[in-house]
Amino acid sequence: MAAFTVVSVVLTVAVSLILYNRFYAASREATVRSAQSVVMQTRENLEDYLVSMRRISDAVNFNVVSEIDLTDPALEQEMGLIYESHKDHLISIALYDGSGSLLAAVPVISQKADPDVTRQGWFIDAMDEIENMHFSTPHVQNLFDDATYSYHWVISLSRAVEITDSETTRLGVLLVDMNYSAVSQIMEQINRNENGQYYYLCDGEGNIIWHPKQILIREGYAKEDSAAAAARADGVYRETWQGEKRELVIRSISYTGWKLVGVIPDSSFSYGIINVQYFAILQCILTLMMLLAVNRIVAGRISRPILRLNDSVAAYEAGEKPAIYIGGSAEIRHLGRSVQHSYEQIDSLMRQIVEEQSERRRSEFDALQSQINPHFLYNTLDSITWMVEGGRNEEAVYMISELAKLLRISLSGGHTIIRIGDELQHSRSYMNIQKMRYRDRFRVEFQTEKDIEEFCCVKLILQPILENAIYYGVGDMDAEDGGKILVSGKKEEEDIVLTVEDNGAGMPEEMAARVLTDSTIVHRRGSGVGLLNVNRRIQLIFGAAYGLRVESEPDCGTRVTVRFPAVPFTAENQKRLEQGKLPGQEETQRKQDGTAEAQVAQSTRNGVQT
Amino acid sequence: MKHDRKKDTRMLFLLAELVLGIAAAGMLAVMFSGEKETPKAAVIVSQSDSGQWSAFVAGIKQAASDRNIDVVISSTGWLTVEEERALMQQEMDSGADALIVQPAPGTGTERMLRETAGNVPVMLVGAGTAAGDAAPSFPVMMADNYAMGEALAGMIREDFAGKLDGRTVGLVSRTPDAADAADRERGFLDGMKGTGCTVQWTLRGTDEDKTEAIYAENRVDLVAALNTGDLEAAGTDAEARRIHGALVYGIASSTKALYFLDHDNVEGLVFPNGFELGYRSFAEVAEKLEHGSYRMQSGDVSFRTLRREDLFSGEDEVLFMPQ
Repeated sequence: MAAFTVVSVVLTVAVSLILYNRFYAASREATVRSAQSVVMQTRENLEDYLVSMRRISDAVNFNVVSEIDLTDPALEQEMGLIYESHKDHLISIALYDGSGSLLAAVPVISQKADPDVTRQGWFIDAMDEIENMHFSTPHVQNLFDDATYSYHWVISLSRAVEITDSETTRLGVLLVDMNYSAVSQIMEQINRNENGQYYYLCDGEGNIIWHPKQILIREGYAKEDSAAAAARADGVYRETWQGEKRELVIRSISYTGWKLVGVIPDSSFSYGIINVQYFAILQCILTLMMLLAVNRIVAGRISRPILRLNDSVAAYEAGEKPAIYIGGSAEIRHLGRSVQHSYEQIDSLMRQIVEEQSERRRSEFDALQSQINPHFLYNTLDSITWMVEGGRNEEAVYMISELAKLLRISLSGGHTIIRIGDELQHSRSYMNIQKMRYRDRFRVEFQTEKDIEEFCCVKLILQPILENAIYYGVGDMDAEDGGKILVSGKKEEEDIVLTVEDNGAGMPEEMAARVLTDSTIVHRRGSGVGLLNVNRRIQLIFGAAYGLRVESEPDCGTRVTVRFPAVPFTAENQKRLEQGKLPGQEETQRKQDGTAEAQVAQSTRNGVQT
Repeated sequence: MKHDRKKDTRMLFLLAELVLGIAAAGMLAVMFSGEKETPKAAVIVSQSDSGQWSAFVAGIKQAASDRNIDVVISSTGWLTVEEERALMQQEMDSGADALIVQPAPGTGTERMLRETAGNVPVMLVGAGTAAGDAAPSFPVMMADNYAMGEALAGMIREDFAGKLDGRTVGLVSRTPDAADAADRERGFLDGMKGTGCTVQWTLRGTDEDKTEAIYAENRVDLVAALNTGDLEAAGTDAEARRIHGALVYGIASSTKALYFLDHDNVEGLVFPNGFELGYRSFAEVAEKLEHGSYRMQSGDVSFRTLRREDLFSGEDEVLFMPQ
């Protein structure tokens, strides 16, 4: 999120800068174009003015001086007429001879005592280049007396003329003094900018004709680079003057060699667009404010809850208590709850596995206990002893060999899964020993399909059933009562069904029902590992759908049916079953049958007392 | 710990938003504040329409244009202290943010200026305060009056090669209460010491009607006019041949004075730079208006000595200000 904010701010600033620069460039171009336009227009105005002055001079020269004799009073009259028609722009029109003597002048004013005409620039220029008209730079007219005690700033237009004096011609100088204020007004009109832009007029050598700060320049308070500007051809230039960058627009004024210079300091380009600068800055500030707020909102609703969720998951994985963070937006809360539920399920399943493993161990311990039931062993060895003492060695040998077989299969190398064939052999050996002990008071018959012997079976499931059949069934019957225990086994579809059926005392129906459910039943006789244990062990391995079924009727007998899946006995299947994996089935499906696991756990917790 | 960190982050966020919000509000205020009102300064000088102030007014207007400050030149005649006080009050009531004032002659000017101006910045021009008054507590822009008096004496000494034994001079100084006149007179008299020239008479506040009689009855070789008005009057008298051949010298700053110089009615002029006076005094005032904490500075403006042959040289031609 911080990266997004930074990128957005950078982009916003960049875009603002680019837009401002484009706007500035456009403004600059427009300003320069505007200045060029002003310069062009002003040049035209000045040229028009100068042309009109030239025309006045031409009119006086060609229509008056050349046509009228000097001695004719009409000369001054004609001059006066021309003056009157243009007196707004003129100070005076005067005619001098070659020695600087005043011949005629309008308006009628007295000449100064000693104006020293021949040393004045306009006179010298006119006499030096008689073919041209000459425009002077602005100066104070130093020719005539003014009763108002005032002096006039003029621009002198002088030219050499031929004067007819009593029918003789001589060279003279016609002087038209233009009112400088006319030029001054034209220039003042275009110098009303407040942005620092200004225009000035100089002659071909850089002498200032008009400048908004001409007095300051003359007094030495200001400077202008007019000489350099005058040396340049017409065009637009960029220069640095007194540390300030500026654009110059230069145009020449015809007839005079003057230069009209427009000066545009760089600061004037940004004069009117200061608000644009402020707007760009304001935009950046508002964008930053908005981004900070969005950043905080997103962080508060999304980033932070995700990070907290991640931290809580990491804490759980590190072994802390599973307190998964539930917060933030609906999606993140859902995520948290799902993770919490998953971890709770994992915990529960792990507990179940631990409990099952404990139960398995307890069951196996119980089964193991039955394997080495000291009472059965003691009794059997005791029987062997009195057989040997009684000289019944063959019977003793038989008992010993059956006992050996029984113990061998009981151990089975520590496996809990054996062949059905071995389980049947174990039960045969057990029954053979019991028959001898019980002096054949009952018969045992095994009716099992040969095919089933190569399938897997939980070890020591038949012996406890046979034990119960003897102790609670046929064990107390006399030989003539015809007690019988039938062990049968077959394969039914995908299952193995083993049956132990006796015709002994039987038990009430309610008791038969309790045998596989009530763990508090105390076995009065036998190994103490009852049918409940057998049922649990079968269900632990194969699932709750399998196990024992007890059917009994008092005085009729009892039938115990064992059912489990037909799993061919191979080393791999044996290993998988002992690991709790049913070949071809998901482990979790088996573990989802909670009834069996709960029963096993309950049975294990209560224990089986002997 | 986590709670504290969360709280710190929240505070930081609020602080950042507050700072940015203030910046944005400030920017908006600047953008929509509109054009700042242009400050205004008023100029109060005696006989403001006379030619002696042409250059001064040109300097004032140039500086006002450069600094983008409005300026009002009050139209006045001869001002008394009371009249000047009323005019100052009027201009301040009209919105003047600063005043440029030529102190009216007479005692009590300093106190009047202090009491009237209040917090409005005041720049004195031409002179400090009246002779005998307290030292000015306002900044003053003026030419060195004593030095001008000395320079005037110097011109006379130069023209006569220092040989003025037996020569007489008449002093014309019709505004003796003005501090500038007193300093000029002192400078002139000090400058003339040891020349052998004696002061025959001094015209102070004399009716003009009696001037001709004084000229006729007390002929002098030289007339020294110590201010523009007196020099113009002497020049007029010289033009009318009423001063009986006395050579006129003076301290003046008007086109009319230049006219008299141009027409040999005046032999020599000490010409204070009126343009510089106006420009620099207004520049100080402008600086004060732009930077409120700025302390206005007093200053000396330049003057030059003029003779007829100098008048139309490029450098001195600038003295001919448009009327």
